[in-house]
Amino acid sequence: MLEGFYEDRVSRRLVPVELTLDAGMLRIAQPDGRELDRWNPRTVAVLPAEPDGRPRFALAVDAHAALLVEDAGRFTALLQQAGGRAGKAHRRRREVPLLIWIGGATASTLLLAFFVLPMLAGILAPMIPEGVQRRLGDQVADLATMLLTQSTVARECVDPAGKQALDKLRALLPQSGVPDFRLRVIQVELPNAFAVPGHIVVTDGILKISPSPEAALAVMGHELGHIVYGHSMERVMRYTLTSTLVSLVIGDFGGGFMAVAVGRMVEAGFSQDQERQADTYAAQLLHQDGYSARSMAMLFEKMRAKIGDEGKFESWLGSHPQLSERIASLRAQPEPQPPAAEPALTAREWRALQGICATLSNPPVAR
Amino acid sequence: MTISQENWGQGEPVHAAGDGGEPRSARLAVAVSRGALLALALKNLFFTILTIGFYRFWARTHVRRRLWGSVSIQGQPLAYTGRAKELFVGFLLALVILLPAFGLIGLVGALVPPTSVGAQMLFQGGVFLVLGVLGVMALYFARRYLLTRTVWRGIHAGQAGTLGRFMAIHIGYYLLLVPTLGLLNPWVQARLYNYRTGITFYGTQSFTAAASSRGLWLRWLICWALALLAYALFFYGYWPVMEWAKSLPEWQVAGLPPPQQPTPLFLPMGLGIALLPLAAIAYAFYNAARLARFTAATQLGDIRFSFPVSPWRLLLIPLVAGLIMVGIVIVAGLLGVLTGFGIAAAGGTPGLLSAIGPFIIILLAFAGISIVNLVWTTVAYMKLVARYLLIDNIQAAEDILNRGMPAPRRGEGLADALGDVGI
Repeated sequence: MLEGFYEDRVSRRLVPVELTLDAGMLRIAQPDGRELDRWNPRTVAVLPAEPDGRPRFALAVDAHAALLVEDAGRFTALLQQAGGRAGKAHRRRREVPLLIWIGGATASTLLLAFFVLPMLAGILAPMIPEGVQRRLGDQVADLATMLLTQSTVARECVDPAGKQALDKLRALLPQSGVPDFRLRVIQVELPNAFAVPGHIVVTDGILKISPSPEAALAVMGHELGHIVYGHSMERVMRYTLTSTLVSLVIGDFGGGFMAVAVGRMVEAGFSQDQERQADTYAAQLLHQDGYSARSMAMLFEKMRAKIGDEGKFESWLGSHPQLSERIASLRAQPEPQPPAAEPALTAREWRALQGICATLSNPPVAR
Repeated sequence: MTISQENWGQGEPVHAAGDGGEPRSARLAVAVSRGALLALALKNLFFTILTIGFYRFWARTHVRRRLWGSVSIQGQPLAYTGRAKELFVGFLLALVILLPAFGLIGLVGALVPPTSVGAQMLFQGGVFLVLGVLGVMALYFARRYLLTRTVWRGIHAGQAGTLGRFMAIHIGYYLLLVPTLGLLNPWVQARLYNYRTGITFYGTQSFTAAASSRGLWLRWLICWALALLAYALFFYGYWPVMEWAKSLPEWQVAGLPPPQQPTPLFLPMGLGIALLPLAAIAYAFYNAARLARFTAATQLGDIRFSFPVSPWRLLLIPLVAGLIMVGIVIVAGLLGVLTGFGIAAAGGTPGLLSAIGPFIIILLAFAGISIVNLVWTTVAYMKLVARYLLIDNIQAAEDILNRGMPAPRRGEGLADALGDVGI
């Protein structure tokens, strides 16, 4: 047993104590036997010297209590009996300044959002088995169709003459070297098209505003580009990862609502690159078939005339690059030499394709 | 009598003061101005929005400092010694664990087919389990941080006990609740209360609790049965709609239009909803009895506590908070409608305002709810404790010194990242 003083480092009160080892712990008790504290001897070490010159022992440099012992040698020997190390001392800690924490955190967040996570998505996406991607694509294509057509069943446009024209157009898309996909037209006024693994879906709205069958071919080629480059899987993963990052960093401020908005902005920046990639793919496809990329540019010009070019803010928020930019880069594409002898569809076939939604699939049958 | 350091070389130090003395009782005094708190909350909201959320660590620290400082016992105020930087750094470290975990959950979630009910339920169950385990972990860190940053008369509180044991005990008892649909709740709550109290200390003195579920069962059974009946009636009424929703994918696979959505049975559903207020009242009675019994079974050395709280007052606080929040939601909805009219009146150009308008309204509504939680609910609960909590033998606190266990240097990172810890 050893005697010493227990010092409250806040109030500087001193209490005489008796120090013993009990079950591998340093027991600190008042002379009447009441236990004050129990310390792990392995973490006990001497504190930096104080003006009064007395050696003090504590569990940490900033602990609120310390032990003062008159015979430091005997005390260290006692600690060593229980596995404590001789000569161990607590040093004053140097705090890392707040600005360094903030700077480091900002840098690593930006690095993650704009570099690491997109790269990770690019690596992971192709690893998802084809079957899983397809099954997911099947479901998403149907769900999106139901949502867009505001119907409880996924119905597509199957007018026979239009379908024939669609097949003819499809034959102009690459037949080998691309993943197998299903092409369908759905009855939605909004000019739109989308691609998910195994599916290309085009609205009749975009067919109706297309100035030529080549423009419609370009739309399909653009969506095929997304499939060929595996954009949709990569996009799903990138979106998931970045929105996780953003929602965690921003915290629950705004109930996660803010996180969705900011996540969308971050994600939009990436998918603009993908849209450009798909545009280039479509332009090359047209070129191989002997058609000019201008047909696609003309479609975009029509869309721009209809909805106007988006402002800076909307383009930052939206997922597509500005139409003007896309038109300019399409117009800069070289013209095919020699050009194709005839248009992609005859005038009659083109009209049939634009009217493909005269007949819808799966006429409702009540069971 | 206390000795100072100068006495050291001059004579034998003597005992710290406090031994014995007249037994005294004390109550908490809460002196907080709701107006000043509201001003602080608004200032915090402003800076939090300005910094897209990063100010929240500083905001929380300012609020806690204000709240702790408003409570005093025997004229001595509590103090909160936490710093915003600790919270910030703790949060950054928690991100290192949480980001990969949440990223993985998100990716798996993205791959689960949206229309497969079974796979979705399995996934949701898994996520619930992971979040539950992380939540218990967060509770340990948050509790330890808040206790070590709480000081009265210069003495720090704290939490002993290891993370592993804390998690094992909590998860073990919570898992018992699942198969019994919460029937064992009073027993589980008593056990967990005793454990948590036992690892809590104020300086060199540990808290102890010997709470039991005795005397609580009748109140709990009434509350439990009412809630169960309400849920059962509600689901019975809604069952046809759920069956219909479950059959949708089959119709889709068959390429057939699904049958019309059936109407739910309104009578059982209405009865179920009508039972909920009764269940809430029963729960308030159970909770008041539980708080009174558990507190009476708690000791801090020779210091004892009693808390004979009124169940009606326990019920009143969330009720008023709920009414204020309903008011906020209605005002937010009206603002939304007005903005819509404003856009229509301005010529119907859907520009920046219509894109941002709803966003701002929802943001403000959320902010409003968190301000109500602070300015009304938290203060009301503090006043409730001040009104009913009696501390006996408070003079024994003078014997207590600071403990040697070092306080954690980082904040409750995990809890912050997982969700708001309240205050």
